[in-house]
Amino acid sequence: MKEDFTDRLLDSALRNYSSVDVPEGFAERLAAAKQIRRDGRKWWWLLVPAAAALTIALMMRPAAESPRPVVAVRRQPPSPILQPPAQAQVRRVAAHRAKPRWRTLTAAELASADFPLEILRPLEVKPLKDLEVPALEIKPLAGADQAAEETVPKEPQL
Amino acid sequence: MEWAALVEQHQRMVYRIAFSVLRNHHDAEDAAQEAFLKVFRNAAKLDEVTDAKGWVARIAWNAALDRKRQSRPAEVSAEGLTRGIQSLRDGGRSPEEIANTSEMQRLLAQIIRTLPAKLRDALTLSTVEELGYAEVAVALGTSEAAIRARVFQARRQIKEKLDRMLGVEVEA
Repeated sequence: MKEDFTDRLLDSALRNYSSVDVPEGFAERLAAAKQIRRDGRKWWWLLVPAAAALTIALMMRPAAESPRPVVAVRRQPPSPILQPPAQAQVRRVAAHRAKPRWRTLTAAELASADFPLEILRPLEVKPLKDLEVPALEIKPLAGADQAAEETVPKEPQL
Repeated sequence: MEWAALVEQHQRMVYRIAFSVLRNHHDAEDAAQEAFLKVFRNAAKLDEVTDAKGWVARIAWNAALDRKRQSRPAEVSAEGLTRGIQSLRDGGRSPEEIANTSEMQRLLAQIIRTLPAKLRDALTLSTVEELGYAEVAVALGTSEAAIRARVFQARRQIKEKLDRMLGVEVEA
């Protein structure tokens, strides 16, 4: 049976496909790798306080005085004044109040008045009357008809 | 669990999973080491998982896949391999003898590589002797029934390809 050949071949091949033995010393190498990783991690954690100490030391170090650089002085226009100059506070005086122009005269003032008291009497109110305006008549000017005729254009003479 | 005991218990399975994916001992050892270091880093979770073996297998599988992404396997001509196997068959070798040869293993690896990812993953893990379908299902995060179906389909596809390659006449 040729088909049986392929079946048996496939079965055996698949059985052998991953049938490998662990190489000798695998466990020891694995333990060593683990130890290396662990040590590596330990060193990594030592870096953290070291970095922190270095940062603090750098922060606490007095700033080194560097030689002052030579600066070429150049005249510059005065900087603009951004704020108005301060001024002493001005004391404002209240404005003079104007006296009222009129007032009611007292009885004594009225008694001593040297003008006739008739003017204080209320005015007589008369009824309003329509004005009588004569109708406007416009008369034509003399010679107006003659002037109108002259304005009519004449036929051109050929 | 003690580190040494954990390694002793699972090293064969982890190594075989890595080898099934990477197909060379050097990469398989690196991937197995990486898997164990991951297991140890997450050892606290080991008590919570219901299937410890499946959990370790999953970590080994992922470590092997990570490793595989970094290295591309060298392509070998399938025709040359097929010719070698045909000559062995013609020489009267039994299927079991041919299955042990490196030509057959390389040809099988090439055929498995051409399978759809789901079938390939299920079949690859199922070839690891220490893993049952249940553990393969845990490692791949699916059901046992799905794994059975995928392995069956994968085997059928491989057989068809082998038949074509070796020129076997299939009986009607």
